[in-house]
Amino acid sequence: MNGVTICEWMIDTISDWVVTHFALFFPAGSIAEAEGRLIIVVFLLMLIVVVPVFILTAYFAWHYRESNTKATYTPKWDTSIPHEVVWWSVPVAIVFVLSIIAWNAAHDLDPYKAIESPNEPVVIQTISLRWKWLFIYPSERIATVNSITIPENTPVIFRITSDAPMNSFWMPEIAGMIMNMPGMITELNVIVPERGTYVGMSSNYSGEGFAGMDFKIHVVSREAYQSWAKMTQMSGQALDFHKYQKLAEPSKKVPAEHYRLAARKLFRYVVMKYMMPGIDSPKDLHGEGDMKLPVRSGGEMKMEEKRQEPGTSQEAEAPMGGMIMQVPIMKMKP
Amino acid sequence: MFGRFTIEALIHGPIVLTTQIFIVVIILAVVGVLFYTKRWKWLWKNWLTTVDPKKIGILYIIFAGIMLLRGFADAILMRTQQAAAIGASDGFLTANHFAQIFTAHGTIMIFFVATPLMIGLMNYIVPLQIGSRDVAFPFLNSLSFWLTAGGGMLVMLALVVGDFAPSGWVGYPPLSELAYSPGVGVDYWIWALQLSGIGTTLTGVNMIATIFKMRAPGMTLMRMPIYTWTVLVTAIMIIFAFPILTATLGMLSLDRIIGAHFFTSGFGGNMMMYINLIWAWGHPEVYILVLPAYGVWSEIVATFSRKNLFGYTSMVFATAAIAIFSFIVWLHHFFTMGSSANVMAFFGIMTMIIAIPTGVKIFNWIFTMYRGRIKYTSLMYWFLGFVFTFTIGGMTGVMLANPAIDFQVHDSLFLVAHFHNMAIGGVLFGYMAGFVYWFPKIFGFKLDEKWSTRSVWGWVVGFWVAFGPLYILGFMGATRRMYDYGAGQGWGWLFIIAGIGVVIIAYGIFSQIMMLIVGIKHRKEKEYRDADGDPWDGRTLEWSLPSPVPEYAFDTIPRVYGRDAFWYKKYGDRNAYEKTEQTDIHMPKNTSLGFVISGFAFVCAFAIIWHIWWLALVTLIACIVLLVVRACDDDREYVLTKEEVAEMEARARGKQYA
Repeated sequence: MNGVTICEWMIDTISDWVVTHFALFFPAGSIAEAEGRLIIVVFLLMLIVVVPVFILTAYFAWHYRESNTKATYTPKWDTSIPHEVVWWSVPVAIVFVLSIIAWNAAHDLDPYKAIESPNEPVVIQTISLRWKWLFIYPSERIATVNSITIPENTPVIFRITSDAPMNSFWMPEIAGMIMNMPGMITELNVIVPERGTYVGMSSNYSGEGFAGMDFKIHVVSREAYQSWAKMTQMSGQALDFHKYQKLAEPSKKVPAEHYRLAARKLFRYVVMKYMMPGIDSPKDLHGEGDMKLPVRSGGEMKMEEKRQEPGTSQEAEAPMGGMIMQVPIMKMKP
Repeated sequence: MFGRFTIEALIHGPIVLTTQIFIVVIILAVVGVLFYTKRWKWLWKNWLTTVDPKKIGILYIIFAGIMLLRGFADAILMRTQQAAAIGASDGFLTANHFAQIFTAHGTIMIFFVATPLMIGLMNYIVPLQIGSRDVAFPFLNSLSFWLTAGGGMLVMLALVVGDFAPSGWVGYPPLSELAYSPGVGVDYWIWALQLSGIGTTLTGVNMIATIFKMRAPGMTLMRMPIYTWTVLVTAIMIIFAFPILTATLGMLSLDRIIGAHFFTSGFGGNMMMYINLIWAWGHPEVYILVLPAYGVWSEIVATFSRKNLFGYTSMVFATAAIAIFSFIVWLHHFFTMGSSANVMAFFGIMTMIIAIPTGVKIFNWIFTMYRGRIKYTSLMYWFLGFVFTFTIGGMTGVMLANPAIDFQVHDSLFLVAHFHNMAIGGVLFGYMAGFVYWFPKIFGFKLDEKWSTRSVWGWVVGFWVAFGPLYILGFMGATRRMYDYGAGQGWGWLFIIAGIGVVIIAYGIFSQIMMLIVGIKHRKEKEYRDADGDPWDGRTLEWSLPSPVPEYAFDTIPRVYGRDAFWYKKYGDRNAYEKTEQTDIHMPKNTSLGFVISGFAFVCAFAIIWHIWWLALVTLIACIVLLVVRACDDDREYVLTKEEVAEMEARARGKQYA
């Protein structure tokens, strides 16, 4: 092996390692990619202040040392409007630019923002349990534990809640994180142009089994996704309410599981049981199943029918942002 | 009779058993030494019942030092666990134990190391800087310290009697609610914070009254030393912010004790409310911790550059701006909770705006060095280590302030590295430098400069070796608070480097202990002794006093005619300040009530934690009764005649020159 080949080999190995491990800078999802670019841009802008600070500090600290008797000494010089103007206004200008960037990024990369695509979105209801993840695909009528399969280049809408302490749903190579909270629904919109297998985890401490809550995301072709969904629907064990109760019991480092969905109101039940008294099973959801939920859309509230019809996908028009808050209609059970 | 306390609470595994034995041995050793040297009366008279802010300041600092060792032990355990969990191993700590450790580490470092260190320096130095003999409310001052110490003791007790909270240093529900944490751990955490929180609030009240009402004649606000300005602004922040903490933890404890539903998962509770409230306190809290540290840096840079602080007026303005803005940025702690984009952008922009006055301060410090004549002591090395470290931390803060970036780094090790960057690089470095700077004034001799410089190296290099890898891990998608992680992630070697960093920091701490030991050993020698009260050629009034400072501080209150009056008087302007006439001095008498009331408060908190309701009621009534007793006490002063003062002063000065 000659020198050039060793060099090439080293560069290849290191860059391979970097590309595989730095999830935030070499992600797969479009949202994560935009977020990674932002990190670099903000970092570079900040250097405009940081580099002069380092240079000036080092130079002054050395030049004005006591032993350098040639340096000018002006013990009473403590005001200078021109100097102050510079170091008030340059940071103000940088922060102004950063603010525009932050404003735009907060809106463009808002987890609630629907992703435009010719492909129909896939909806996945996500429930964090102790200490694993349950993913329900209402349209495909399947469910999985600690594993997600999604089609490439297709918007995926995660509707997220918790039947456990607060967690945080994070797939660093795909998008930013968003919290899971019992009794509430948050939302994350993602799209992944590249096939592959990626890792996700919880990033909000939720108890003893927290560290074992990693799960895999398999991004496959659209055809492969359809066949996978159909196969799971036909062959998987049934996830009914009884099975769900077993699943919700504390357990750690649970391996991936696949189910066909036998309890269609499960997600709604999990949210509503914290919101209203007397809801002990999906059967107790009477009219609440058809309840109008306020949905935040670009800052204003608008009411939307939420009904789980078989065969249709969850959204005709995806809402443009916001957290779906539960407004319980006070129907007390007799 | 004993509530939910049982003997099981004392029985844990081998690591805790070792600690229990260790604690008992230490207590016996201390008690033994006190008996042997017959110092019980001395301890009671000079330390337990004192209302002298100088002594209370020393108590705070010693307390902070002890708690630093415990908090650092927690850090060592965490780093070792995460390094050991490399590959298929899952280390040597259970997940639950790890959770208690990270909760204790954060709680101790913020409430029982950084805060008492800050308040200790405030207590000793602020009255001296403004030409006052004491703080406005000496008894309240004593109560503040002993309540804080009581809170610290609760955290220490949780180690050996029962469990501590597993829910992090800010204790988010629902994990901190009864449904998921029914034991005593979260209650220990709540009451430790309640006791010390009340102590801190009272200190805020005390400092505001002192600075507004007890300045020497002629010392206008704009003639005060800049450190005192930062303390004033901080004290105002304290009285606005801490009541939020008291109320929020009060509501959480109502949830846990009487089954209320402020923050629970169901029955109308809202955990998002807790998160908002706790961070409405939590964000001002971190600025409360850092602003006086900025004040220390201002004093150090001006003194050792032999030059006026650049831009005094804009420093004051910048400090006030930081304080005001710190109250309108709290949502940046939970960008990932799902607020609308408008809300998040607002808070992100507000957060970035705070970087502007902070940057101004850094430039003002740099241009204080400009055209100065810098004397290089370990204090200047601390300052340079601070500028380098803190600037990078500030940069990562601006990155985090962008909501879209935060979506990827919130609650990751990047975040952990950032806040340690600010807390260690800004707060801890500042108060450790302040400790070395003012040590000669407090004890009459300098600390060993060589070991002090070595401690700077240990801390600065150690910090970067320990936390640099964490920044990298954050970019790799590593989340925080994990006691174990997947074998294939490729994170293990970075945790090992971080572990090495902790060893280097340990060398820094070791050097600090050595600088004390060597300083004490050589304290009577010429290079160490503070012969005239002015070891650094200082600028402000505290350096005009003998070292150590006599109990009455100023034998006569000076009348001041300008900023840095002591410096100007030394260097040509004899009218910079003048001594006024000697008079009799009224000094506050010692009182045991601060110590005793806090003792009852500690027992009350313990009783509430363990649901021993009769004891809680009795001790609560005792606290109230004793407070009323104190309020009705008219015999609180003793007089030092002017002859006594003149004699004590001559002795104090004479001892110095002897």
